[in-house]
Amino acid sequence: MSDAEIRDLVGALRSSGLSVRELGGVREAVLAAAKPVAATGGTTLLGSGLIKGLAMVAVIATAPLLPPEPAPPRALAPLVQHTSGRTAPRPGVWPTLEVAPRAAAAATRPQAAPIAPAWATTPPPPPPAEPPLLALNGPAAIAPPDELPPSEALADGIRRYARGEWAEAAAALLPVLEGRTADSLAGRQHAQLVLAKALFHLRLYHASAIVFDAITREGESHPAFEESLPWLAQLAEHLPEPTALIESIGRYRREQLSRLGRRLPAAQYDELLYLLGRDRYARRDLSGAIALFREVRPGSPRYVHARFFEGVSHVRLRRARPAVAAFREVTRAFDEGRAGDLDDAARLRDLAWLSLARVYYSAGRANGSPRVLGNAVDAWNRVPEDSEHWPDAIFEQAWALFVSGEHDRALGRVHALLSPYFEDRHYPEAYVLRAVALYQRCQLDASEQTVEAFHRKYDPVHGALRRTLARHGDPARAFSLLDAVRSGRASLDPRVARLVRSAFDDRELSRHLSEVRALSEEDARVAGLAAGKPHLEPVAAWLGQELAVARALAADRTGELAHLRLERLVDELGELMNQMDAVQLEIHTERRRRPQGYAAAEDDVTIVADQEHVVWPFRGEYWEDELPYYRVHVPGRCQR
Amino acid sequence: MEATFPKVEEGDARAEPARYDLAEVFDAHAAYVSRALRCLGVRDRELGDACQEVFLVVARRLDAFEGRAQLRTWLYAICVRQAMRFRRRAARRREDAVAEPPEPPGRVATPQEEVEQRRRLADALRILDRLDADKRAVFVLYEVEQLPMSEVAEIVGCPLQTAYSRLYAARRRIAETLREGTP
Repeated sequence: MSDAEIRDLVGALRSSGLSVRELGGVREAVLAAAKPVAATGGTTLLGSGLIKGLAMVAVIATAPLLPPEPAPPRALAPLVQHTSGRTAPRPGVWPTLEVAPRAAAAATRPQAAPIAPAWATTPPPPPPAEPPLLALNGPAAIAPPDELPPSEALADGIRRYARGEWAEAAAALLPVLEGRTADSLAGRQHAQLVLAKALFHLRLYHASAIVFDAITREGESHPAFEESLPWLAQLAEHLPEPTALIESIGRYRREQLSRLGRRLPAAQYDELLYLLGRDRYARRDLSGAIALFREVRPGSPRYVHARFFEGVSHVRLRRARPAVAAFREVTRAFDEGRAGDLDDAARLRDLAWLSLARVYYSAGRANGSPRVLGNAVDAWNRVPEDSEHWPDAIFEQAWALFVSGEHDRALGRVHALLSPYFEDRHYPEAYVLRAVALYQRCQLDASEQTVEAFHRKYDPVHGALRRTLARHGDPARAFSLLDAVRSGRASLDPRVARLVRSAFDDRELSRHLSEVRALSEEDARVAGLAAGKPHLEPVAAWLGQELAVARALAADRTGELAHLRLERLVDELGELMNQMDAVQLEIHTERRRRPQGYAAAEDDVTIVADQEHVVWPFRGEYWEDELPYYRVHVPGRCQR
Repeated sequence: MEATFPKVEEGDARAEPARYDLAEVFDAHAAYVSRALRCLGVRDRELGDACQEVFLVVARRLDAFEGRAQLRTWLYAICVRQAMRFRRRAARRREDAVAEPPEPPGRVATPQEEVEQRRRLADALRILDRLDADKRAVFVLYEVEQLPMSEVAEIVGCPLQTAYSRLYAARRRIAETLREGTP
C-alpha cells in the first residue's frame, strides 16, 4: 500500500468524529445527567442480563435516546461561488420596478390550474402572495444593490420579473449568474435572488430552494441573506417535505429569526421556529432547540410537532419530568382537538404514548418503582389498535413485563405478536424472549422448541438476506432495490421479500423516496420549459442540470439509508441467532447439571385473556380485542 | 504519553487518589472518544449517543478511577464496550420517531464535496470492518490517533512486539482490500 493511500484512508478516518458543535451538545447532556446518574448509584437506562451468560439488551429503554433517523439533506448545488464581502446598496442607480410583482401578475395573469407539464407554453399559474417583507419594502427591495449600471441582461431580467414573465426573467438572468456579463458581484448576487423568486413563482419549488440554499450558504455576506428568510418560510408551505429546508434555515441566527420572522404571518413564523429548532436539535444544541420549540404557539399547525420534539430533546438530556410533561401535552392536544388537522397528528400522538412509556420504563428501572412501571404499561396500552405502532407497543410491553418479573403477561404479549394478525410484521426477538422465559421456568423442552422454531424460520432467511445485501452494496443499487420494492417491481427471493418490505416500510424512507420522486417530477417539468421556445433552452438545460444533481445526491442518501436498513436487519438477525445459540447452550448445560431431570409440571400451559377483556376462551383462535391482554401461564418445573 | 492530565487535587495528593473533573476530562478527550467510537464501528447517527454513554460511564466511575492506568487507556476500554453494545442494539429497523435533519450546516464544502467526503469515510470504515478487532484497534490508535506504540500496546493489553505485528498485519490486510477493488 502506498503512503498516499494510507494517508487518504487515515485522513478520512480522522474526520470521522463528532464536530465541535456536536460535542458541545454531548457535553451539555453529559454534565446535566452526571449528577442524577451518580445519585441513582449508576443504574443504567439499558436493560439487564436476563440469564447467566446471556446479556440481552432491552432495546425499549434505549429507544428514546436514539438519534432519529437521518433525512436526506437537501442535495443542493451552489450556484455562484463568491469570495468577497457584501456590497453596500446604492439605491437610485439601478432601475426599480414600477409595479409590484403581485399586482402586475394579478392584472395580467388569468387564473390557472396548478402547474402542468406544458407550463412553459401556457400562461403560468397565478403567483403566490409575495412574502410580506417584500411588500413592506416595496419595489425598491428588488433593485440591484450596486452603483455600476446593470448589464442589459440583468436589467431585462428584472424588468421581465416585474412584469410577471417568470420564465423569460430566468432566461435573461442566467448569463448574469454564469458570469457571462460584465455585472459586478453585487449584480450577480441580485440576479441570484431574482432568479430564486422567479422560480418560486413558476412553482418550481425545488429549483427555487436550490437557489435560495446557495444564497444562504454564503451567509450574511450575501446581500439577500435576510431577504431570503421569508421566501424560505413560503417555500416551507409548498415543498412536500419542509424539513428539507432545515439546513438553509439553520444558517440564520436566533435573533435574525425573531427580527425578520415576526413580520410574517404567525403560522409561517411558527414553522420557522420549528425548523430552526430542528436544526439546533440536529446539532445537539438541545437547550437552544427546546427554547425554540417552546416558542411555537398553541394552535399553530406545528405546535404538536414542536412539543413532541421538545420531549425528545428532554429525553436526550435525560430530564424525565419535562419530557413527560411535553409528551403528555401532545396527547392532551390531540384529545382536546387542539392538534389541528395535520396528516400525521394521530401518529405523533401514538409516538408520544410510546415515548411516555419508554420514559416511565427507564425511570421505573432506575428507581425500582412498580408504580412507575405501571405507568409505562398504561402508556403502552394507550396506543390504539389501529395504529401502525400498536405491535411495537405490545412488543415493548413484553420486554418490560418480563424484566419486571411478570412472565405470564410477557409471554401473553409474545403470544399475541406471533399470532396471524401480525403476519406481515417481524419480531424475531419475540422468539428470544419466549425461549428465555421458558428456560427460566425450567421448561427446557419447550424452550428448545422455541429455539428450533426460530432457527427453522430465520436461518435460511438470514443467508438469503446477506446475499441480497451483498448484491446491493452501494447506494445506487440499494436505491434501485428500494424503489423496486416500494413500487412492487422487485423480484426477490420469496423468503426474504417480506422481511425486506418490512425493513423498507417506514415513513422515513417514504419521505426520502418522495423527495427523490418530487425532484424527478420537477426535472421532467423543466424539460418541457423550452418546448416551442428556443430562447428558454439554455435556462431549461441549466435548471435540469441543477435538479439532476440534486436528485442524484438525494437518491444517493436515500440509497445509503436503505442499505443501512438492510444491513441492520442482517446484523440484527445474526445477533439474535447468537443469542439463541446462547440459550441453547444454557439448556444443554442445565441438562448436564441436572441429569435427573425436573419435576413434572402440575398443569399444562394455559392461555387466557385478562378477565375484563376475555372474548372467548382461547382454543387456538385469536381475538383481536384480546391480543394485548393474553396471559400465558407456564408452570415452573425448577426444583428448589 | 499524556502531557496534561486533568485532575483536581484535594488535600494531600500523596495520601488520597487524585480526583478528576468530569468537564475537564470531557474537554480533553471527547474528540478522541468520538473518533475512537466511530473507528470501532459505531454508526454516524449513533455517535453522539455512544459518546454520551461513554462519558456517563466516566461520570459514574471517575471517582473510583485510581490512575493506575492512563486515562486514555481507560477511556478506550470503555469505548470498546460501548461500541460493542451499540452495534448490538440492532433493533432499529422499527421506525424512529422523526426524521433527522440534515448534517449540521456551517461547513464550506459543496454538496458534491460533502458526498465525496462521506463516501471516502464510508469506504475507509468498510476497510476497517475487514480487520479483526485486535488489528483494527492497533491500526486506529497508531495511525489515526497517532499514539506511541508503547501506549497502544498498553491500551490493547499486549506486548509491544505483538502490537507492531498487528499493525503490519492490519496494513497488509488493508492493502489486499484496496487491491481487490471496492471495499
